[in-house]
Amino acid sequence: MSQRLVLPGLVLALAVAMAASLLVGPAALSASDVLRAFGSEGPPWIRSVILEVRLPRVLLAALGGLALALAGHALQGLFRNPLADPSVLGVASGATLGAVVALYSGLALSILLVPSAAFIVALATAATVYRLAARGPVVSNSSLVLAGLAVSALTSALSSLVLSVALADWELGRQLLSWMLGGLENRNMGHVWILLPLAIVPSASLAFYARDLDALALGEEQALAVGVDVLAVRRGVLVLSSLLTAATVSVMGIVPFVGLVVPHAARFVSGPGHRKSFATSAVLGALLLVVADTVSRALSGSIDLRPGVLTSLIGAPFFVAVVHRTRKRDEAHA
Amino acid sequence: MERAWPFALSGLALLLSASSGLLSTEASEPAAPELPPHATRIVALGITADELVLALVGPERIVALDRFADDPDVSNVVEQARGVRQRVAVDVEQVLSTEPDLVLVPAWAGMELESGLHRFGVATVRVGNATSLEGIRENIRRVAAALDAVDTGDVLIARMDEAIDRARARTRDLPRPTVLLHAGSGYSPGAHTLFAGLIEAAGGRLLLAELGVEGLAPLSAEREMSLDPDVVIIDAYRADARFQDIAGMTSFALDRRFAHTRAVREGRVVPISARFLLTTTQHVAETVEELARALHPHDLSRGGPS
Amino acid sequence: MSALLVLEDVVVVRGANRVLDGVSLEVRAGEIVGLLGPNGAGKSTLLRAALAITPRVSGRVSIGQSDPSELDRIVLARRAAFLPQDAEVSLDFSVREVVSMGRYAHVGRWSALSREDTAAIDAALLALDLVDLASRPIRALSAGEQKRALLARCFAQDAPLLVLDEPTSTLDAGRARSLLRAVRAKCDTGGALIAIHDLALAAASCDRIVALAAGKIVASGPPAMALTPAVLQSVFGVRGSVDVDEEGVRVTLRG
Repeated sequence: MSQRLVLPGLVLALAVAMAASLLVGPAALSASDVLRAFGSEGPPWIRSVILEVRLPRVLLAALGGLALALAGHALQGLFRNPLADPSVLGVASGATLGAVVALYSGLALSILLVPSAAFIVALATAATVYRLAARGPVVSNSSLVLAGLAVSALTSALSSLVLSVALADWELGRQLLSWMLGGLENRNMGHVWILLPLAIVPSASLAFYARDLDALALGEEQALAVGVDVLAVRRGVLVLSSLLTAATVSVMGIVPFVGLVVPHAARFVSGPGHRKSFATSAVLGALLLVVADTVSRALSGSIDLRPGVLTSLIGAPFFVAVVHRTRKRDEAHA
Repeated sequence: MERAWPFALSGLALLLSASSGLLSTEASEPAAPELPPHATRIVALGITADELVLALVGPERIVALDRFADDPDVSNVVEQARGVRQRVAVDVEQVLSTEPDLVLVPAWAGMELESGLHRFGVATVRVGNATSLEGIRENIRRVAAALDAVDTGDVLIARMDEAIDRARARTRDLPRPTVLLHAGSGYSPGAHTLFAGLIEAAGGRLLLAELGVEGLAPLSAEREMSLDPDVVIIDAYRADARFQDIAGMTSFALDRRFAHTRAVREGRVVPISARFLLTTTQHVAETVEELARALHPHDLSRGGPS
Repeated sequence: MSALLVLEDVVVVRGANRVLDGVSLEVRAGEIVGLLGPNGAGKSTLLRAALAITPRVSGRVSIGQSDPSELDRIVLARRAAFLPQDAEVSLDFSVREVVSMGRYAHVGRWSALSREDTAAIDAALLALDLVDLASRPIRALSAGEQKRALLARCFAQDAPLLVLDEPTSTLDAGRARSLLRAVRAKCDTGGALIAIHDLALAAASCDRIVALAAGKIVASGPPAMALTPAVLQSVFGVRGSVDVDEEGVRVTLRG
């Protein structure tokens, strides 16, 4: 396939997947039911199922996949690390902690404040992991992953603490637990409106740093030397990707590995340049999560399979493969 | 200042998100629809709702029940549930596809479920798990009123109270043994729980309640041994071999750690089915009878009057 | 001629060590200054301090009349190009893409490359004999070829001052000489400060030598004058001499 057709092709695939996803669910509805629902015809309950139950879910999967893929892509570029990803770096579990605390404190409009709380803790986590891993201008790959592991162990423990306190009130505890498992059950258009600006604004802003991230591939000193304000880029990318992570975590819990896998595929398809591969990542991320969610819904009669479980099933072996390849490359250099 | 734009933009996005989220929920979240005067397409979610609705209205007014209704381990209404064909899970789409006019929603379901149903004009009644006998009466009255079955509800309450009073009368002059509930979860009920009320009615003393422990509280094996109650109630599901195969856990009676406790030595570890221990409806009357027999095995004949 | 780079009494501290201890030097237009010294003498630190990558605790640095630590990175990149010693590329960019990154200082963030930019990139590729490798992924090349590609990136930057840290360390003698000839051609109007560990190469290719030992400058001047037998002995631990004859500068080492 010619390079120029890749992105339109992927957009088309995404559109097809989203349309197909509208057909899948516990209620057996046909394609004509779906079409009639969009034309405000047909029985009201079918219209409700299509427009208010399935549509928000499909839109959330697309927005969430886009946001996670771009967050991972930007972090991989920033740290020059093929293993960087919001869940590997502990940013996602930081966001979870912020969200769990906000949910537990039960603020009246908590679903609106959850993203802010998640963002603050996610950003603090990202800054901490970065500080632990950085020695001068150099951030070593292994210390970054280890720092992420250490910090996410801490934030996960704190989240568990909040959860076990909450479990004394069984009903609240069960709500929190279900949310922590991640998923897109029972989400509505309100969630779409919450996620939409938080996915789109930072994603578009990341394009500002595309060229700086390209130069960072030559190392931080050469990036400085060609005129990149490395500190500003670092801060900006950490803020924007923390916000993307926090937004998805607030709305659908942790969906791991999307941010790890998708950027690799995007660079494979569109080359290393961040401007092009960001766009590819966005579409591929949306596609991956829409498909994962559709599959999990199609199987939901037999088991409660959350989309995060599916992305992990794909992502974990991929993670191992990347580690393996990186080690081989390092050995070749040594 | 120039470098601060990602922060400023993030703040802006958060504000935008909060306001668009607020607007959309305000706009699309109508107040809870009014209850239909006489609902005829009722859906029950959660075993508590199943037990209430089957006792209050005829199966012809119920379109769907929760899947748990058919599980003899947790359901007291397996027989009655056969009159209703459809089963649903706690999922907006599944519930909507039955075209209900009233849905009984369990309290543990997220707010999204209820607000989701409201958006489609479906009325809901939240069914909490009662933590006292008075709570059960209130629940029955509230659900009965919503289902246009007030009289049936009153009869239900009267029958429940009668059965409990009978049990209480029979155990009034008997010695009151000390009791603990050994649940696999590591949590055990104390004061101001439904279980405390049931034990009291069955003629026992719930140790944790007497110690001033409130609500459902963690109970370690060590504490359990040191409290050394006369009777230990366990979940029959955990007592039988099936659970031991699945969970690889030893049942309480065979657990060597508890071998020297009074309850084990005197053979007073009593398995009781989960459907009695979990119910928070009028079926607690049967639980009280079960418990009374467990606490006073010699004074109350097995399979006595019911 | 005005100086492209001036360092006056620069001190850099790492922990309790004075890695640079009062260093002063100048690079003027049209000259190549070779920075010599044993490992750990502070050569890389000096180059980084000159470009405000490593902070100094005292002293003065100016590049084109301004302190680089106060300049916008883009402005600094138009005045000085830098090639660090260890440069590992983390993504599969092609040689041409890497070289074109040298134009960041001249092209707006959102603009496409102008004809002038393309010409600068082509010239850099040509100067370093990379035309045939231009579309290859840089990570597929040998270490020496990668070094040349990264140097081409510096050339494309079209800055008057080139600051190069061990550009020849991975090259054989012939390649090293031709690379320095390319630098010489580029420095027609500009200047260069190059850290080199190869004495003979430095003596043969640089206009001036600055010898650094333990953070201090111990000798400076044209190769034959700076590299006296005494300096060779005390700084480099070799016995030998540097002479000028009709073929140029020659280093003779004994023992």
